[in-house]
Amino acid sequence: MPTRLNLSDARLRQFADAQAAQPTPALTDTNVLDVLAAVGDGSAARRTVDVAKAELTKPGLTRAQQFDLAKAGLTRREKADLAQLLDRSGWQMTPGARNFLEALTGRAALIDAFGPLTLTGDQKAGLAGYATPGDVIEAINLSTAPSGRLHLTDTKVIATADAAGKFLGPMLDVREGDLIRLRTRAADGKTSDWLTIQARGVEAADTRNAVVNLERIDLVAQTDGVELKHNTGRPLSEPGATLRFVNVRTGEKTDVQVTDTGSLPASFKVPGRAGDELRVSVSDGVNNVDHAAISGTLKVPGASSGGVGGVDLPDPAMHADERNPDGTARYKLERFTGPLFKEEPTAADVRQGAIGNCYFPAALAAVARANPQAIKDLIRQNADGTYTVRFFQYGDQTKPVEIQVDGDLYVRAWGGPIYGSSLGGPTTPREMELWYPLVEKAYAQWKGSYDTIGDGGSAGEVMSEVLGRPSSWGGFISAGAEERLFGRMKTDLERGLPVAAGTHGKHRAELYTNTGVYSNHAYSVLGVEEKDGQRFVTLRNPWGQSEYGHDGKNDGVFSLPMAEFTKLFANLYTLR
Amino acid sequence: MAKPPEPIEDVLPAADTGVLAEVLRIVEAAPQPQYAPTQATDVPSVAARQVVELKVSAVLFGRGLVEGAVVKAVKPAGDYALRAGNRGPFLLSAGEAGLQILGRYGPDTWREDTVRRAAVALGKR
Repeated sequence: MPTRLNLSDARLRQFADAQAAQPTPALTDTNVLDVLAAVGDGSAARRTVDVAKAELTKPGLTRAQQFDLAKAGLTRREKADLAQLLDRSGWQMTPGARNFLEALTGRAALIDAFGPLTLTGDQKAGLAGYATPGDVIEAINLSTAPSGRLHLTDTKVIATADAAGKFLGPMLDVREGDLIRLRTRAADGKTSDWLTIQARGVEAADTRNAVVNLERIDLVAQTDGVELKHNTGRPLSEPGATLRFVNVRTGEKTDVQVTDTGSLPASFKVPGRAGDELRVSVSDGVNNVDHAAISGTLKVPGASSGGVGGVDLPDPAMHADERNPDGTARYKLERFTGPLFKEEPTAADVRQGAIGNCYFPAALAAVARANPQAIKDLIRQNADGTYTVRFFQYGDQTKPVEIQVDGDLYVRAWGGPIYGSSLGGPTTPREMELWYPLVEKAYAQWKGSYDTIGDGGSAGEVMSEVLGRPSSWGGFISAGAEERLFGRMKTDLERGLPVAAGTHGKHRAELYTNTGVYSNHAYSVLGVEEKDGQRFVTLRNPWGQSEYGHDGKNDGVFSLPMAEFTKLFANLYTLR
Repeated sequence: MAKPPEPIEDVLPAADTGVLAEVLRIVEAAPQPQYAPTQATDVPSVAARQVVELKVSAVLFGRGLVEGAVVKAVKPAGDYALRAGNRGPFLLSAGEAGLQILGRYGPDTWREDTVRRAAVALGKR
């Protein structure tokens, strides 16, 4: 209270007395200049109070310049007086006025610009700053809002400004470089203008790219191109981000900057026509600046080429054998919506398609036999209908790689996938069990295309990438190693580890004709057994048919005497 | 490569005849490319082209061949190799170069009953 003040500067005492006469003493952004003039006068500055006030109120003067003028005349006693005003006056103070006094007394840095909402420092501990005392601070993360069901006004209250106008509010899921939009709301509901900042100090580097919500874009084919319409009030991407649309048919690229409201400019068009596909990518200016990472594909309605619904992600290109000379696919895509798992996953679910990747279904069937839970952990369905498959790069548990795919699969003219599919039930889009074909699709997406994975590989490497364990290769199979091989297979299968085996290459193809075993081919090892003193290996052909001997089932599963195994098989794939 | 056999519906229309036969001998064989041992399977590679002599034991469909006939046929470079004594259903197409064996794995591509059923279903007699 004023009665407790013991001010040495006459002008400050005069100012304090005048305040004391007011019903509600207050230091505002206007009358604080009287205080600055009172301390800015004196011999050090060789100016009177009136001259100091005149200089402080010159049009265009910045806060920093006002601060410098006051500081030039500030004496030690006046500094002590200002400290009393801060600590003992009991006056209401605007954040800007308070910051002048705090800066002159050395308690805080001067804040150059003050509005109704001012942010200070970085965002490591949250959002900190000044606002009118009692106002609440509302904020929204513009970088993540497009992937949620949020309008730009769907803010959260993160803090309330205290009596000094200060606030500090934590905000979850803020990453370096995220765009945060804030405003204040007074008790009477009045809001300030929006303030948008980019989060700093949260992490060492900005590694989170903007997202684009493709479901919020409608395409309309017109005579002069394709108009893109933002179909909702919710943002489709981060303001300022660059969206790139590439017409898959023509290769034409169109870049556009997302507006301040997270939308597209009015009447925005790209070259194209009905039936075209637009590949969409986004960059926040720091991440994905080359637009190499694709967010998804949009199809211009009005022409049919296997139309799909829901989220449409990029699909891995077909194998070169199934492409036309111009590079386009010879087979259409169809959206599959069946269950991921009909029952507990088993080796019998897996069927190799018309692609040279026997190593892959052989490995997956081996994992399904040894550890069904690992298959269930491998793939999950997302809320938007897409699927996420998790592999481990180099078989290293610390290097998970998540691949997101949709349910589109290349199909033959009469239906049914041309590549991997599921056995034991219908292969229709609505009924087929999807875990295996989608894991294969994700693997193709990860590695580049069906062409990349369709020219051979190692079953051991795939088992390693699925389970995150190093593969173990014990050399080529030889007749003299029967004991060791049998023991290794038995031990691994008992431990719940997958085992697979591969036959010799084509240069030894004559070994195989009429045996029911095929050269240059991978098989899952389902079991081993000793019967009447003879050892057998139970194997499964990933085709789900064609086997050694004829047991009447033709399901690809057969038992092979160990002596035949060492003759016909070249490699054993196990994990460490 | 060890792709699965083609759907018989894809191949049968190109066949002029289907027979059960046995390989009597290898008449000629192109040089077989050698491939280094590898841990991988399904790697691009071929078993060399062969010309073989087949002895027909039964005709499944088509005309021109009779039971007991001995004919030469070409096994193209591909996914399998033949040796004397191999037997099974052979789908054959006739062309300027003579008879050619169809199916990714020759006599191991489809079973006899599958060929018979498909021949009836697709109108091959």
